[in-house]
Amino acid sequence: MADLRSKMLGRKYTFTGRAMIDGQGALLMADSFKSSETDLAETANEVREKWGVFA
Amino acid sequence: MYVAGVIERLERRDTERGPMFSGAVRDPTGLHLWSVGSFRPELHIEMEELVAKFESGDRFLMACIGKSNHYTTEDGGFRCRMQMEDYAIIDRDTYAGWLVETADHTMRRIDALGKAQSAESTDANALRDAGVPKDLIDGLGLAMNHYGEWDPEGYKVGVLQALSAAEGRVVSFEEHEANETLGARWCARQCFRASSRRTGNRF
Repeated sequence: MADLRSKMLGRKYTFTGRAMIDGQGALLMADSFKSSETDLAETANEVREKWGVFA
Repeated sequence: MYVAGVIERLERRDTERGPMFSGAVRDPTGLHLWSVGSFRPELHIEMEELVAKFESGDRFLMACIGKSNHYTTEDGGFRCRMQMEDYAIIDRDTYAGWLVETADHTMRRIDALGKAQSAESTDANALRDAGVPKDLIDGLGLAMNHYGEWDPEGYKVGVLQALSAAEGRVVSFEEHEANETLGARWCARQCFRASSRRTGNRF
C-alpha cells in the first residue's frame, strides 16, 4: 500500500466508470484508469492567460 | 484537505496516549501544520523513519491528506492544523503540477470573490445574480458575513510564485520556498492585519 501510495498520491489520473458518493466521501468504480499528466509549462501558461496573472 | 510543500518541521512527542508526530510543510503561501495522532498507528513506523531522515538534514517534498482541525489560542488567535490521514513523498513534477492546479482554483475563488463584493448583498440570490459560480455561493456568503471586506492580494502573490516555480524558474524547491516565502509572508501579514482590524480577530 505504501508503494502504491507513493506512486499515485498527488498525481492526476483520468477514469471512466461510476462513482458512489455519500457523507464519507467518494468511491470510484473504474472501468478504465490512466495517467493524465500534462505539459507543466503549457498548463501554467494557460492559467496565466485565463486569469491574466503575469509577473 | 490536501496540502503539499517542502518539509520544514518534523518531530516526535511522547504523550499519555502514545507517540504523536507533528510537522509542517511550506508552499508559496506559507506554512501548513499537521499532526499524526494515536489513531493512525499504521503511519507511526513510517513517521519514525521520516523523523530520522529530517534530523539528518534531508529536505523533501511531501503531500499530505487529512481533516482540518481549528482551534483558538489563549490570546484569541485562530489556528488551523491538519489531522493527517495519509501522505506521500513526492517528486518535483508532482509538486509543480499541484502548484499549477491550485493556482487555477485559487484564481477562480478570487474571481468569484470580486463578483461577490459587487453584489447587492451576500444572500444566495444576489451572489448568483452577480455571477458567482453555483458551487461557491454558499461558502462565499458565509465567509463574507464572517470576515467582512477582504483583500485577496496576498493570495495573488502566492499564485504568481506558484506558477513561476512550476514553470521551472527555480533551481531547487527547497531553496525557493525558504527564500521567496519572505515576500508572501509580508503580503499575507498585511492582509491578515487589515482583516483583523476589521473583524477583531488576531493572527
